[in-house]
Amino acid sequence: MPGRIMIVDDAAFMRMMLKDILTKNGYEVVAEASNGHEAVLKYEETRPDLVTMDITMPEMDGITAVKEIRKKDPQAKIIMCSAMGQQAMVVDAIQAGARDFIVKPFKPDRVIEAVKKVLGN
Amino acid sequence: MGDTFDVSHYLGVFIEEAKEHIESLEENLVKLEKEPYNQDLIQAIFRSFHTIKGSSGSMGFQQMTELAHLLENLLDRVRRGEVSVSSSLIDLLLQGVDFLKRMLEEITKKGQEPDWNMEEIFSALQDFRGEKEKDDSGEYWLTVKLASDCSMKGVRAYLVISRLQDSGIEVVNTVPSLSDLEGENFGQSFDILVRTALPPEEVVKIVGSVAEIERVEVKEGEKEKKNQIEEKEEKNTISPPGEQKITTNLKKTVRVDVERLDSLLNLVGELVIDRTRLEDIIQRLKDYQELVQFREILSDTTTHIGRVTNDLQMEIMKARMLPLAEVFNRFPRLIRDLARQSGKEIDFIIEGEETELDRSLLEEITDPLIHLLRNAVDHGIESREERINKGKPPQGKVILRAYQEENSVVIVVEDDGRGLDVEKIKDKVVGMGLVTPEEVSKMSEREIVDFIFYPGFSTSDEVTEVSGRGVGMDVVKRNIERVNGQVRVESQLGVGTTFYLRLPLTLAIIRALLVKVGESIYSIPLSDVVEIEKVEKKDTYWVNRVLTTLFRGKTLPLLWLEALLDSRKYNFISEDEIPEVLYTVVVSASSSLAGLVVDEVLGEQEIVIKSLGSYMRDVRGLGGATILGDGGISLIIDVASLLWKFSRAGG
Repeated sequence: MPGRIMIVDDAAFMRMMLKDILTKNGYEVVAEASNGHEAVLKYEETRPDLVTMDITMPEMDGITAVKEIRKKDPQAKIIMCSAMGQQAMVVDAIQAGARDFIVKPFKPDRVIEAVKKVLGN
Repeated sequence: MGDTFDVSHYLGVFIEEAKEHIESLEENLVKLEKEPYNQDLIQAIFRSFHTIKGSSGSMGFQQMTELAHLLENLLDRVRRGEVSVSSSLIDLLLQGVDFLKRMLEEITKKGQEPDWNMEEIFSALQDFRGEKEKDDSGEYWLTVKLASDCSMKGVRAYLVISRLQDSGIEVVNTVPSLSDLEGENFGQSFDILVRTALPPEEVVKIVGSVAEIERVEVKEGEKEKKNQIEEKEEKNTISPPGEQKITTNLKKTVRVDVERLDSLLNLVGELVIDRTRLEDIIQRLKDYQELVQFREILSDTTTHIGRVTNDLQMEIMKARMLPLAEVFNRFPRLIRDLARQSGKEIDFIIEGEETELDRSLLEEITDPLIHLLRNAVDHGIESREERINKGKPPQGKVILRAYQEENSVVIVVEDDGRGLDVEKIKDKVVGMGLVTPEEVSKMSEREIVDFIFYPGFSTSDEVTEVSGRGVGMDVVKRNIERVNGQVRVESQLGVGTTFYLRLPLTLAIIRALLVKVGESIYSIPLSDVVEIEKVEKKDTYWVNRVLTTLFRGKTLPLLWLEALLDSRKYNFISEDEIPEVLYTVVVSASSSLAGLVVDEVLGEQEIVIKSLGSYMRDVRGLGGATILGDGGISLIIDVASLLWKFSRAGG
């Protein structure tokens, strides 16, 4: 059964694309954030089932945001969105508690697979 | 009058039965460690403890009863799922079984149980808590295959591993190594060795919860292979499927004292001798025409006696036969302990344990087999790191296999370890001064490898607790040859080593070739005879002062049996002493051939081997004696030691 998702990315284009993919597959996008700081605030407000988190963002990067969110909700389910060449940062994010990751350019089925698996459905 | 009730005559039965239970306990416990969820096994173990408790209680052995009771209780907790099967549990249970075993030994010796302080083991059993999280149960390999379009494979692998660890699963090892995984130095799949109490399905599910993974497989080597073997066995033998793997030892049997069987077989041996004598009499009656009628009647009766003695002999021999399982069943425990000691992982496979062998032979081969298995674990199988570096599976494999081949039983001890290093053996034999470098360079690999059976030979650089003391392989060979068996080794460097032991089905009666040398008749075991040749003098040559001839394109040394047994130098024979025709029995032992020159070949006969007695020990070249049809005595040639003697005398 689909869930409520928050998309975090500084590029509006990426947010749009992800939103399209997710909503087409029956997921509800309950919040969008363009930086880590905003993501932490909105997570508290909306308590989504899942977060897709970009790594490099202004103000607060994705990894720090993961740490902050997990501090508030140790059960938070977060998928990292990374670009090629960011291996080390993805590993950091996993250590910080991210559950899985997807690599840009996104392939819709890969995004859905990761979301499904993390949500356990 | 309960306390005057005399239980002492049940002591023998009690000991026998308890021994059987202890043996099957050891076997089943080791099995349980590998199949922690096998309820049938748990039941079988529980029942064994229960039976020991009951019977030791009836015998009045209180300590033993208490111990069995605590063991049974612990098993009951396992049965109810309160305690999970772990290595530490198995260790403790085996420790308890060891105690039972040693108590039983004391009881066997003294008729009463020892007065030992058992507090420690008692409280260990009482206080055992299943350590659910740590060191629980099994280790197994997973193969994880990533989706073909997976990007950032290294991070993916890292995620899989950290997901396993987050779920409380210990990641013991990976192939390729962790740093290679993270550096993306691998193809589309990688292997992980996990240690966990969770069943494999759960672990697969956990790994499967990571995205972009195409497939996860459990390589639990043990289970797969076991199943294959079981399938094979079911094809070969007609036995009910399923449960037969669990040792219960509950066949319907009558216990017979071995000595009784031995004396029965001895009596049959006498009958065989008498039959031969009768046949001899019939032969002699040929010369008396007037007795033709009697001769025929006698001949008929003799034929009948012959058939009956044959059958009788077969039956008694069968009664003496025991399945090799009697010996093999102890080995999983041995291998487990050795593997733990040396920190290696070993997949130990037993095949053909239902093959039967004469009881006395069974005893003779136990030590050689232990030695070979120890060698395999200690020197054969490499350390885990070494195996991984060589690209071998980290888990070493040792196979113990038995099968019957015509009139012998073959036992194979095989490992997939480092194999014998021919170059190292070469250096060693030259260093020991056994052969010169020139001689070595002419030798085949097979001949060089055979040097491992030479007394005092060892290629191991370091001496460990279990093996490598420089005694060993020669003893193995001698023990096996003493029972008319043969040892052969095959090895490939880096791939593994295989030992083949070929044993006769029984010791007592063999077929032999009777030959005459001077005034004496000798018996040569037919199993050692390759061929009987008439060699003409013109076809012989002197090579290194040994008279030789060509046999199937190979040089064959011709040895004067008489001279050899006399320990005289075989080369005393001078040119003109050589007869025009040499009656030669071509014999083989440990893959070397020789021709024994005799005066006359008399024929083939079944002979009963009688020992030469202790006052004539170590008569090299002779394996015993037998009584002939005419009441005369024939010495039995022990080909292996005779040829050994020759190679010694020849230098």
